[in-house]
Amino acid sequence: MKHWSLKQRLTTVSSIILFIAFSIIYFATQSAYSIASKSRLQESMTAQVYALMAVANDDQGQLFIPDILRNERLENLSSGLVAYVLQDDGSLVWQSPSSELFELLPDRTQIFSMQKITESNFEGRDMFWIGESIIWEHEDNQEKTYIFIVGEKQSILTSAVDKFKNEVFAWLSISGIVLLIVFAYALNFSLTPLKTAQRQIELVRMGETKSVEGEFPEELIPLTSSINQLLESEARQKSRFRDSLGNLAHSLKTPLAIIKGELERESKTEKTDILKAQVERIDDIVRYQLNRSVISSGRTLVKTCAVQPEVTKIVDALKKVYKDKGIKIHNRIADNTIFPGDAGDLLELVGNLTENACKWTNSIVVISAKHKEGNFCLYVDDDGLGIEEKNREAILNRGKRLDQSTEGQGLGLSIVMDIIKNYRGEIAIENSALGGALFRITIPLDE
Amino acid sequence: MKILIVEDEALIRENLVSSFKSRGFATESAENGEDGLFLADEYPIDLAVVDIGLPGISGLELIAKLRENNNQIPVIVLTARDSWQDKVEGLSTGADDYMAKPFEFEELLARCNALLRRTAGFASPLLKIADIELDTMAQSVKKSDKQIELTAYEYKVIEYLFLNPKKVISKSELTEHIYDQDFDRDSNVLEVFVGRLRKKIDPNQELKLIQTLRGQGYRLNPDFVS
Repeated sequence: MKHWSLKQRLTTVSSIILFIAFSIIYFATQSAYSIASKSRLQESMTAQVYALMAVANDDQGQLFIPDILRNERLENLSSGLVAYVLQDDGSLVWQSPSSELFELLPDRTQIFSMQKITESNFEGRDMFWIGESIIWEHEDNQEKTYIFIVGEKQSILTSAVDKFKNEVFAWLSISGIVLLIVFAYALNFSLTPLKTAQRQIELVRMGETKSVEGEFPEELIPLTSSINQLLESEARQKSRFRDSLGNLAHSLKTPLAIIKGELERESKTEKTDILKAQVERIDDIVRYQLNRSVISSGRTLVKTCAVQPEVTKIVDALKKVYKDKGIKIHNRIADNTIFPGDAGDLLELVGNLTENACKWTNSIVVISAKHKEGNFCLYVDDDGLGIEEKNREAILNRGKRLDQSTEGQGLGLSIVMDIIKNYRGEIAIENSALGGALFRITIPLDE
Repeated sequence: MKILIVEDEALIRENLVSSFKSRGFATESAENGEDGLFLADEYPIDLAVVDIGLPGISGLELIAKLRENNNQIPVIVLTARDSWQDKVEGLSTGADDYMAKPFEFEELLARCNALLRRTAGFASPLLKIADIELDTMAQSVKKSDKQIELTAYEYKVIEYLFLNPKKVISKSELTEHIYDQDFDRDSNVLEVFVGRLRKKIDPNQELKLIQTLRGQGYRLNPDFVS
């Protein structure tokens, strides 16, 4: 339920409301219809009773129903409409031809009334009954009680009600479906700004745009403008940070450069060697700390960046710097590979590893990256001498330098290690298929 | 070879100028981007060393403007910031190499030489034409593996000719590239250098490596230049 989208929630809620409303309508109309039908039936049966009474004649002290009249259904055996006239002792005076289907006579002891339909099962058929007792004064002044009964099979009503039910059900279903379709369109229309915002935020996270753009309804404006402000302040802070770091670097490094320059001009003594070593130490610390502060603290609001363009930048730069060495640097990044973090961090990772590879390789460096098992994997291969297994651990330890003559191995790598730590990734040194070393970095795509 | 140094910190600039001079380079120097741009566009510069953090127009802007003016001289940037973002920014703007401050002059020199060679189309620091071998790192010349003693200016002349092997070089161009801007120039002196150089590298007049084209200048004998 927590992960349901707004669209799912709205669709579910409105479907439930629609279902409940239509069910109520369905049952209410059905019950109203069946009450109305029943009372119509009652009226027509009452009319039938009156019609019978109207044609009843006195025939020598006996009640007589002539063959005239009459409703055709009373003639027809299977019509379901039956009529009886009984004496109050239960003996038959008259019965409609349609009633000959029944062997028994209606039970006289039952209460028949014109005001209320009586229901009963009559020889296996569900029947409605209406009847009235009247006292007939014969010509010989004799008074006799007769019961006029009209019956109708219940199925005539239930089939009409069923038909009505089906009709109502069909129309309700059609209108339900039409309403749902209309609702889906309306929902899409109403949710469009949210979808646009979602897409924009996704683009920002992918690093493809710098702010959430587009026109939004007033309910969303506070949200989108807050996100933009946040992004802006993050970017501003980042650039201010970079600027002040740059200034700090400049003001620290310039005096160091002067000291180093002056020391180089001095003739070489034990003292100048000591001083030079100390200057280098300070330089290393400053460089390490400055570079470390440039890298982000792991994941930020802008969560991803495309790998290909960043690697291309590094490859172009290093091709220039190592043109002399005649190295081939191959950029083999799988299409659409994304790095789950800041582009500056990716530059540091690729730049440091590739530059180290360029220093140690004979002729070729291959940078490749792909997504594998939920991880971002970066590989830097070279065809140099490789790194012996016993030295690998030491290389990965911060600040350790294997070969003092090629500077920067330790520093660059320690920046790499710091970034990997921030992203909870892993680094390993292996044997490259090219014959040299392979640096493999694995960073989880999702936290 | 003439090197332009653009650096606002006077001590570093002066140090660089004197170090380059002591290695036989002619130099021009500027303390801000505007002056640097002017010198690079108006003077025959072979390579520029540019600090990124300059007052006024920054080192990067200077390089961008140079490339805009279609000036393709090789440029090494000196930078206090050495994050990859900065390096990539510098190199993609048009710089050919970078050095993080503080740097060792020897390394800067090696990179300058490498860039100059690269611009001339040589991959190795040893330039060999006919039986003459020039070592740009050691600044020495050998003929058939035998060392030839040259003066600093004689070396500058032969190095410039070797680094522009397919070009006819006028006397004025040669003068501009081997002397500083404020040096008192006299083309007769150049003729004397070339004459002495010919005697030293080709005592028996067999090779005729350095040719004079009347009214145009000097060039290396095309028979030896592949």
